[in-house]
Amino acid sequence: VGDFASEVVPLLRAEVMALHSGDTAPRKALWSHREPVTLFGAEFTRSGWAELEPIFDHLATTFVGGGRDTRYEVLSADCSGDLGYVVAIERSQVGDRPMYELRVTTLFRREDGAWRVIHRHADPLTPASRALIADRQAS
Amino acid sequence: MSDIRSVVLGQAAAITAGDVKAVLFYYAPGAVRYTLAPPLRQTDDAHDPEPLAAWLATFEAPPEIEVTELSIVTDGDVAYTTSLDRMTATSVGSGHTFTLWYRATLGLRRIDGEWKVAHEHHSVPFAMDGSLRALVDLEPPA
Repeated sequence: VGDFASEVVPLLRAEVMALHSGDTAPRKALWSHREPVTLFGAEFTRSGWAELEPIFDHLATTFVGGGRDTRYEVLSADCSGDLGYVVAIERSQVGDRPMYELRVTTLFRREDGAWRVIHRHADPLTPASRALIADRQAS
Repeated sequence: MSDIRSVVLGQAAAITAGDVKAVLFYYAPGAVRYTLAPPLRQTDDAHDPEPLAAWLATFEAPPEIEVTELSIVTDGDVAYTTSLDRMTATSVGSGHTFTLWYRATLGLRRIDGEWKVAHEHHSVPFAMDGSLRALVDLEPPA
């Protein structure tokens, strides 16, 4: 999938694992703080950095046990000019819970020479993954 | 921008018209689709009319699709859009008419001068109250 995916997928993996461990710094560093920036998440739909930052802070408090693993099955990825995208199945394990999977579309904009996330659309289609996400705080 | 808007609105209008051929015209070869219905991903031939025709046949009339809050970003030969879309339809059999809001992300590529949908991702959030139900009754804030 090329140099673009090779560059950004490890960053995505790292920031998701960090978030699962309560650390929002990698996500806040990777995401754009400029408009338009949007989240169509499994649980939340938000627009603009003023809405996104507090929801990321909240999300980071909801995972118990820390990020054990996150893997990306990249189905499609490319960039043109200063826009790029990654279409993937994101599989994560948090604590001692089984792995769950999300369908994830991530969009990037190059800002000051660095790729920044400007949109994430993620949803767990399977009931098993929904259940694992929904009861993550009870584990 | 207007070309991309025409693709997004044109495809929605084609669904509302029940024009399968017109809907499929907008897809790029090899399009990857994350739709509201299973499976987890659809990487089959996006130009095969049978799945779409079968889906349309589950309604008494083609569903009305309204695209709202459309945002378009483009650079070179890649573009993406986000929107909140509203679908109103009546199910065959039950006669139940429903309205569903969902989040839509489209990835587009310009191929031979024409914008085509290379990726679509439609979803609704789901409830975290233990029911795990898809939240099909959400509406955008007024």
